[in-house]
Amino acid sequence: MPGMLGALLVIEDGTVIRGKGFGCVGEVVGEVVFNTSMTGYTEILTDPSNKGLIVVFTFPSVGNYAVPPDFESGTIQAEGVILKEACKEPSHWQSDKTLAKWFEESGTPGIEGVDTRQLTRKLIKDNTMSAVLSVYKDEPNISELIERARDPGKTDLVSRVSAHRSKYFGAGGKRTVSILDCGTRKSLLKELNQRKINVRLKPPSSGKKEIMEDDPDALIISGGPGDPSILSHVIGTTREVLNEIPIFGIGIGCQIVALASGAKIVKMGFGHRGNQPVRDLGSGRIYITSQNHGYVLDASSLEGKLEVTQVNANDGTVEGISHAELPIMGIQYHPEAGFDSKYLFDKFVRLMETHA
Amino acid sequence: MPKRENIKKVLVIGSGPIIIGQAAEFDYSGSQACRSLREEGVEIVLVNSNPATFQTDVGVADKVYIEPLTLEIVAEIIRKERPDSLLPTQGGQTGLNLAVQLHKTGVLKETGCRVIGTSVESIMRAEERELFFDLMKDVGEPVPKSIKASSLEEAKKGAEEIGFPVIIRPGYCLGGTGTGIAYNMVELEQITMRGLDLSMNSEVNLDQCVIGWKEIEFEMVRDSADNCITICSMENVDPMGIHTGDSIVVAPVLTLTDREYHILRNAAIRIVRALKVEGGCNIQFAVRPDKFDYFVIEVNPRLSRSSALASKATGYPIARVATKIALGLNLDEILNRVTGKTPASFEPTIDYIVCKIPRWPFDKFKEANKIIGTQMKATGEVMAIGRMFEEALQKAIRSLDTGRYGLGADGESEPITDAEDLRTKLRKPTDMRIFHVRDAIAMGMGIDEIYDLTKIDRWFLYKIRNIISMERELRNLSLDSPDVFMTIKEAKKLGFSDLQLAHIFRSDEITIRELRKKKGIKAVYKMVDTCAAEFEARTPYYYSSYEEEDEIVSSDKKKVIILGGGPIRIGQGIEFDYCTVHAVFALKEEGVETIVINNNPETVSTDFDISDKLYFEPLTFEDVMNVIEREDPYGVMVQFGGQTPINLAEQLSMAGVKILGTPYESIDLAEDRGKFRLLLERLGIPQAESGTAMSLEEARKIASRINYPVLVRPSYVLGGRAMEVVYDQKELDIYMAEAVRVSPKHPVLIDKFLQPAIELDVDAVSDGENVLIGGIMEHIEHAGIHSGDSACVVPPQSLSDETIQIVKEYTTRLAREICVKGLMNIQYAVKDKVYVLEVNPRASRTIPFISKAVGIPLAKLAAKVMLGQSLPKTYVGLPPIGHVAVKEVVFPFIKLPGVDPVLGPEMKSTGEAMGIDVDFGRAFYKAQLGANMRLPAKGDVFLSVKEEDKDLIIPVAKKLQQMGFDIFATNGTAEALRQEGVRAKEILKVSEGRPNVVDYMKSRKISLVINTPSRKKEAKRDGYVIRRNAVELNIPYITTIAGAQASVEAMEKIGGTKDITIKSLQEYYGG
Repeated sequence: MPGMLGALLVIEDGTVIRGKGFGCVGEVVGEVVFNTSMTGYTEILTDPSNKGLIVVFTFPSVGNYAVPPDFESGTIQAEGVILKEACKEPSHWQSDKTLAKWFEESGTPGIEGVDTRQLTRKLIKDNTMSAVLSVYKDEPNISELIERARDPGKTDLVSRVSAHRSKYFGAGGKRTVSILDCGTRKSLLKELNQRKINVRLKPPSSGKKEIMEDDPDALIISGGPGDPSILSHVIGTTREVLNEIPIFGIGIGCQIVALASGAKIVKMGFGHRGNQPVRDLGSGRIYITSQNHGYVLDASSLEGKLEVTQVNANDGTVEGISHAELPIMGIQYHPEAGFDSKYLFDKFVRLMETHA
Repeated sequence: MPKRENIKKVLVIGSGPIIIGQAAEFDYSGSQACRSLREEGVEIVLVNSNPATFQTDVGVADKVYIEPLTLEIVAEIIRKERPDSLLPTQGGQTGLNLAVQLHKTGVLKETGCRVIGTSVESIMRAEERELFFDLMKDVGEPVPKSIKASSLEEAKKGAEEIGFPVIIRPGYCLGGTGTGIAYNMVELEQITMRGLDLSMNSEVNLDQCVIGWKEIEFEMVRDSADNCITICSMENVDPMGIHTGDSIVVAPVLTLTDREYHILRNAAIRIVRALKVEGGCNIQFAVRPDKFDYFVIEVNPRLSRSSALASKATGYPIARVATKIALGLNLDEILNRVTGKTPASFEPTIDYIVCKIPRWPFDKFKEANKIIGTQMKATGEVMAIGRMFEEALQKAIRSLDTGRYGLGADGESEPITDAEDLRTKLRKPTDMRIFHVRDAIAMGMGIDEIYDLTKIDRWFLYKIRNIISMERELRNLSLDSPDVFMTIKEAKKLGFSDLQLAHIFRSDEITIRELRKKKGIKAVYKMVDTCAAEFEARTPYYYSSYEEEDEIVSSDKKKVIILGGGPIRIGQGIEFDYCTVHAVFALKEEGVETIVINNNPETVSTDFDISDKLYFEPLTFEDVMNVIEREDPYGVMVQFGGQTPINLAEQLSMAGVKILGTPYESIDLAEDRGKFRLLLERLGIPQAESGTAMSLEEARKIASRINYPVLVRPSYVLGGRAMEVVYDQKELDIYMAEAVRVSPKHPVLIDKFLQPAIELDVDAVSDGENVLIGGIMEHIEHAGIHSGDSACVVPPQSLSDETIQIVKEYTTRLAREICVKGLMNIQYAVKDKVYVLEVNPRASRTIPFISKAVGIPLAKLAAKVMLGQSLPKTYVGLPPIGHVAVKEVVFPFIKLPGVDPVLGPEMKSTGEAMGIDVDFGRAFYKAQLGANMRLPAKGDVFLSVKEEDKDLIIPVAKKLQQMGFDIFATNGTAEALRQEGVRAKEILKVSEGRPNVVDYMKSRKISLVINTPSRKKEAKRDGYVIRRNAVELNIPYITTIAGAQASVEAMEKIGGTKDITIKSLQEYYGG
């Protein structure tokens, strides 16, 4: 058919999946991960934590409600997307843009017509793998794609999604929080501003001096993409301020707090992406949380005064930590997304107030 | 919190007979609750008046009471059994209302029985509109403007304040009974008057109308530690204005943004927490389709039809979890049975699209108003699962078993092409709405116009258009076109059936099937696992799709496929699900792997841990055959699911599938009138004279040969569809012209109508040699009333020993001659001799009733026989019973305005109740009470009977007078009564002026109506008005002489409910 784009997903283990292409013609490399959310594709695709990833949506019809302005960053961050069906005729009063149009505008390739459940089952079995997604007019050489998938190269993903210079978001409040930006989501700023907290976004290259010179009331180490262990500068900075200021690590920021305190991080088989139940060990309560992480703290490596505060109710992995003496807390998921975990910001504010 | 140790004995209340708005879903939730209680070692007392349920099996609860669900009787059971706890949220609105009454009347306090799970206080806060509005105000949730009115004056004032249109709902009513939308004062008056009569508390609520807004539902679960989760969100394809029970529904929500979704989820959580729900809760929202705005419409703090759908849609067993929560467990202390290792404290995520379509009874009620609106009219529903909406929708349409094989393109109906006609039909939706939408798109009406007419979200309309586009693409091809199979593969992904393809390509189903299989186009099976594959699941719960990967793991064990019954409809109800489940358990006992195929989300058989494997699929040849080819079973059982699977027997048999038990040839022998006639002649068993007509001419000839009145009906039917008694040639001509399309392919059967005769139903199990007669059920109503609509009693009350001997002998001989292996039902008419009316070599709808009446599990025995076993020696002949059991039926008349509530050869009932006691009178009284007919102890009785019944009514009237009733009658009947010395007071007929009988009824002066329908035109209309008013005013009414005789006998035995004694089935069986 004229105008139809071909698409190939070539995985490092040699698996080749054919489908229909949409969005932008091109070739991207990334880790293939699956996300089990049934709504929220705009939020997920614009989440900076998805930089470097090719996202499989387990929900079969994506794009139903077009492209509402609920972005977590300026544009699509995921490298590409794998779908059963990209809705061609969306319906919603907020927008009439199709997923394909949005992808085309942002230069992102997508593949549809894929048995995404089969692929997800494969990822569960074989764990997350690298792949090349190619959307083409003329079919590319598959063995070359396999080579590319096998050697994706290491890139500093954080630098691609974080602030390059300080930015200030005032809320007219008394308190100011600095965010060491690894890929901050818009809703994090919103949560803080809603609580009348001013926010100063700091580039990940900031050192202790640059952070402390603003005299913030607390520091948040934001979520972000990729492997935290390669962020040695951020880890170093965090280690230096651990004793100086209340700290809240979110997502990769939680892992950075742990690494800065001497704990270990392990790569998960296939990560937590979607809704996950979390048990708060203090209250015993279960919270449904919005998650997007592929690395996790090794609970047995937690040294000194760091304690586990929350675990995943399904698999027991660490989802929250705190320090026994210092005002330090870490949450592995996105507390700013979803209703159940908003209380954590109130907790953080209290922590900040008591140590002001 | 660990399990509460002080809960040792729990009373579970069922929901009573199947009615519109309360179908099999509460058997499912109640049965699951019982299993959940058993797992925790809790003793269970169960009460339900409906014997067709699985939950009333003695194996399900420690004490099973099949007793009427009235306050007095349930209170008696509590006083006798002394349960320490009551679980009220599993029995629908009936169970909930009873719990509230038990609380309000102090019975619970008196007996020290506490309510577990959601408290009565919370229930009342959600159910009573004023408390509900206060609650919504407290939590800051928006509700439509609403005003309560207990008089017409108040209602008028309220409507002015709210502004038209307004929705009027009677307080405390089931399934939206009496609810209506008024656009002006005249309509307001009509609906309000009716609503005030129907309401349990004589109140109506007037609500601001949000017609056309999206209707969204959330199924929530909360535990006592305040953990709160969403199980499933659901979207009504038909927006606000059409009852959710009458709407096509999809899961999950498909047209809301994440932001909108979370706004609603947060609202739902706030509400559930504020209500302190401990268990399941359903919340309905109206969401504006053109900006951020919503209202909370309804909160149901109990298990519901929607929660059953949500459970099946996600694989999350809400009833089981809610029960554990009631016992004190928290969500994270309950295991998710699907994964076997993760806790129940998670939100299911699904990777498919679910579509539910209601099943309406309009095929049985030609005269009913078919417009669907705020009052639910569907009797049941189907669910289908697909990877695309189009696929799920077309599979669901196939599942309905209405002769449709997808959304059009099946040659079953001519599309409507007249735009004006379609506009009217879209504006006033009926059961055919989805097809009208299709036709509108197909004839080129714009999506925006269709949206304006229907308010069905454009997303769904685009998808329907997609199906039509595919149909067009296919029509441009032929089976020889290059690449045609690539298009066929795409069509299969959109849910097209082989039959649709055959129609499009002018081929046949089998050819298409073989061709596509050759091209590798085959269904694969995916698992329903609650987690979108994230965890390794152990659920043996599957659906088909045309995708890449198949997930079935087939075992080498001996396995049997059992076909379920599909949607609950008139003539094929919950009883077939009961039989299906029994077959499963029987085979499990024999170590055989059980595989169920069914598509009804309300049922026990579609609970994923009943059978070893569950396929949620349409029950068509194609879909069933796909599973058979994939599983390669030892055989297939078609006897248990009613006519739906029986209808597949021939095709399956021809395809080489082994039909277990009675072979297809025997089924054919019994169902083919010609062959069956010859068989009876050969055996010398009397039968009514009959003939088969291929044309009107033939029909006339046969009728005059065997003499009027004759019974006419189309061949191969279920539940007496389009069956009528005609008394002369004029009526025959009308019938032939209007009711059926007679043709050589669809002949019409004509039988001599035996009248008056006693009708009998006999259910038996045979292994081909030995025959167990479960029981001989004597109908209360005489022949001519459909057996499914007739009350019946076991053991028979008026048969001679000789007749019983003949019935036993005929039954045994027929079982042997037809080679029945499994179940068999025979209908007899007893007049001068014993006539055989028909033989059905399959489960009948009386199987659960008779099994419970005599304490022998017939369906289970049959399943074992079908595996090749002989009947156990202890189970041969006709077992004696020491008590009397009566089955009475319930009708949907109240929900179907315009329908005349009379009995005839067409089946009309939706459900049944059983009364069991030491004698006929008591058992009959209980059965009536169970069927919601409270025979009065005193007051005024209105009698009006047709000419032929005038003699017979006299003894009835005399007895009533002796009991202290005042007799009212219209002049003809009154005259006849007075001549026999009955003091009958005369009142005017409807056609004679006023005040007439209806005025008396409306002023509540009449406590019982006995009206037998006359065939005279004027009397017919008068009778209709009287009966219809009785239905709508909820006055007990009887429309047959036999019913009147039995009722009077019952009233003599029991002068009101105070004299009723209760006894559990276990006590009856124990002697």
